[in-house]
Amino acid sequence: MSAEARHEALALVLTLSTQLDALVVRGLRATGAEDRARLAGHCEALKQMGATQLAAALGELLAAMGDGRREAAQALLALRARLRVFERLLTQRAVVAEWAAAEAAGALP
Amino acid sequence: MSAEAQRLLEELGQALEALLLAGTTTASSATQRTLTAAFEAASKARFLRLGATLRLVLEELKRFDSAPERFSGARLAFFVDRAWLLAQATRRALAAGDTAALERLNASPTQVRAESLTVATLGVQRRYVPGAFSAFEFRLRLLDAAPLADGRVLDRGTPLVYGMVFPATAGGQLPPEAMLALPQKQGYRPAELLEGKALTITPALLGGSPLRLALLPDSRVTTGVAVTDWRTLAPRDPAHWRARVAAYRPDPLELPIEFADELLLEDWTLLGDFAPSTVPGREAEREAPLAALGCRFTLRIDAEPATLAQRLQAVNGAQALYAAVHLEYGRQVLTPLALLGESPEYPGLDPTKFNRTTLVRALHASVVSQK
Repeated sequence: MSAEARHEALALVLTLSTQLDALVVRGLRATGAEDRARLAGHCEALKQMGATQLAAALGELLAAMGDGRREAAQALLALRARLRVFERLLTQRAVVAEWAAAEAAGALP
Repeated sequence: MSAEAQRLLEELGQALEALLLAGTTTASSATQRTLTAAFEAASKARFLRLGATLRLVLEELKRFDSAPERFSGARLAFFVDRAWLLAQATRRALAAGDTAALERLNASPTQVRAESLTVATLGVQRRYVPGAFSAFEFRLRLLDAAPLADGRVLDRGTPLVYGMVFPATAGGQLPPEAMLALPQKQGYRPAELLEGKALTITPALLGGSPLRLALLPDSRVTTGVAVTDWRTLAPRDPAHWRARVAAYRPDPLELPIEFADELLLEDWTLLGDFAPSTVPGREAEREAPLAALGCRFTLRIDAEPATLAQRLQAVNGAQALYAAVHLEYGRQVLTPLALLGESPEYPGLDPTKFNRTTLVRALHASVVSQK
């Protein structure tokens, strides 16, 4: 993954995390069509960047929310856990690349 | 016990799911009662990490009602996630009789006794959440090799962490630093940790990684001579942090700041002014970009004291920066612990606020305002 693609992925993770935080506060039963449309847009973006497992987890949440099922809560929790791990992995790769570039530039002691 | 614990964990999982479905505003009082009961039962059953996490969920819910300006949806969401994951994983470990997994999930590291430790405070971090708590984390260094009860010997220079938390109920209107003037039962005032002198602690408990220091009721802390060789105690090699990052394996239960290290930056430059953080849950803090070691870091500080940002901007690389470092949203985030010249300066603390006179004045003002 290029640095630019990683940057875009991290921006998407931050946006999605913020939206999911808001869902936790407002409650899944209070979500409307606009919320679901935004989430569906994020789902598509995740698929396009190759984050298929995350896209599938978000798809499960959308389906459970659409049906008004109680399982939506578990789907939200599972999605958030995966999203956090994805963010950590992206961050790790970004920072490893940054240190490698610093070394290549002779900036390390 | 096991069947009872299983039932507790199952009910807790259901209560957390009910909270997510209903939302914070309309969470039923029954859900909140279940969470409170689960917190008490988890603490009693020695599920310490789960108990501590539930306490944070309950505090955040309380804040939503009583002090919405201090409420953080990101913080609530994280701790609801963590509580649910801990409850599910603990339930599975109990069912399988997996004691190793239970120990790991409880995150209660074994503590070992040291009869005597001589330390110095290289840095300190203050966290102040108005209406919630004041916390201080002292970054210590061992000045002499120290034998432990399990046969290990810690080398001189070994990093130790000593944390103190003062709930807001005890703080009231007092500035956080005033807490450092309070005499402790071990015969010292925390402010003495900041005088640049050797401190001898007899005895103490150590556990975790990095090693966290815990005092016993019968511990004694005594002040010794001024430390002069601070530079030999500071972390030298950023390669250690770099190697840890390369080997890092993420854990969904982990807060970003729980995977952290320390760096000493001899040459650093602030690349801009401090501005409010855009990271969810961190909006009350301020950040500035910083260049060092060929990398671009984010330097993060509390909004208060205002003198901290001014001091860091004034120094801007003229003194070495000793800082904690962690990873977050593609960045390496630094938290200042000290400016290091011949001796450490702790810029995160206001020295005018941690003397006894300030404490007495603040206590007096607090009593008068309550009348």
